[in-house]
Amino acid sequence: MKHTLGELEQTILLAVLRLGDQAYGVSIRREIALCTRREIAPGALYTTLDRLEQKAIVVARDGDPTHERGGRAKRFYKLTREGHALLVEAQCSFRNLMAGLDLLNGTTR
Amino acid sequence: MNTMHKAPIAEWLLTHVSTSQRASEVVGDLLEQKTSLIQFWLTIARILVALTWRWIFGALLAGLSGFVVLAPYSLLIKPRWNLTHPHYEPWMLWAIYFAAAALCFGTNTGLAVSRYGFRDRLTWMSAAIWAILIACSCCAWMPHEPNVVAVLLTAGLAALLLSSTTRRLVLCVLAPTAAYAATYALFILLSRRTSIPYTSAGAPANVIFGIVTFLTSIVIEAIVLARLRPVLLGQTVSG
Repeated sequence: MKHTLGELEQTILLAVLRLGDQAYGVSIRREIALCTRREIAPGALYTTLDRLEQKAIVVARDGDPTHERGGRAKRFYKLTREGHALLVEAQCSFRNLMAGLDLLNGTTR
Repeated sequence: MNTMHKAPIAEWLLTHVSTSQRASEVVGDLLEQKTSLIQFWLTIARILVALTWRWIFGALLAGLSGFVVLAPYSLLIKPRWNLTHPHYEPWMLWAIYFAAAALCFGTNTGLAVSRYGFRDRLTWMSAAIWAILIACSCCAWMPHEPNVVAVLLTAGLAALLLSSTTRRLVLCVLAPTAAYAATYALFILLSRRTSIPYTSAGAPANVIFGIVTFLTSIVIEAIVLARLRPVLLGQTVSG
């Protein structure tokens, strides 16, 4: 059955896209907080990343271990082709719903 | 003790509810953010809850699944027992066996629903066996029903195990259920050896012992299911 992206999943995927090669737990949370002014719970972030990874929507690779992380490696995320397609589809649906509405100027048709 | 020294303990805890890679990532991220000790442990606790709430909910569902078995059993089977002239007939024993088996498969269904969702094939398989066993328990009074059902169930399970497409799925249902049943049986054996009244026959049942038995059995079943599922069916979780 085809997966439909939820709101949090879309937010995380957009943050991963924006960050490029530097998308890992801390930077994803920071980027979301900067763009949306919303702090997402760490538990929600990691369970969502878990799910996205298991559904092959994102892939992860380990970076080099660093001293400030107690010798632990960063885990960088990247969208897969399938993940990218799902995100584009979700954004198209959103754009269709927004068509004719001028919400940002505070007026509707 | 500073955050850096607590990190291995936190990582060890997280390894039990997630992969070692994920545990290392989470702890590394927290160390990088240089949080205070209290904030560090609060975040670890929140992540632990976020990663395990489905299993906790599953244990509750598993407990409730028992009522689904016992309700038809009490409504359809118990009234057929001749209470004025109490005696045992073979079908009564079969009804109890089927109901006990249904109770075991019910817990597996509860865990599968909460962890993998309604649409998952593991949930479907477990629920199908559960429903069949409930029906068998309720119809055990019918002439020759236990023998016919025993043959059909054995043949059905054998066919599913022999088929390469369903073998892994059936094993993924049977193994955790067997772990649950074995743990439960061990506790009942323990209650007999230690004279702890487990059932209300003769003496009031020991409620605490009953709860400990159920929780231990369900935890062991959940661990077996969590470990076995990725190996046998691959990594897929519900959304």
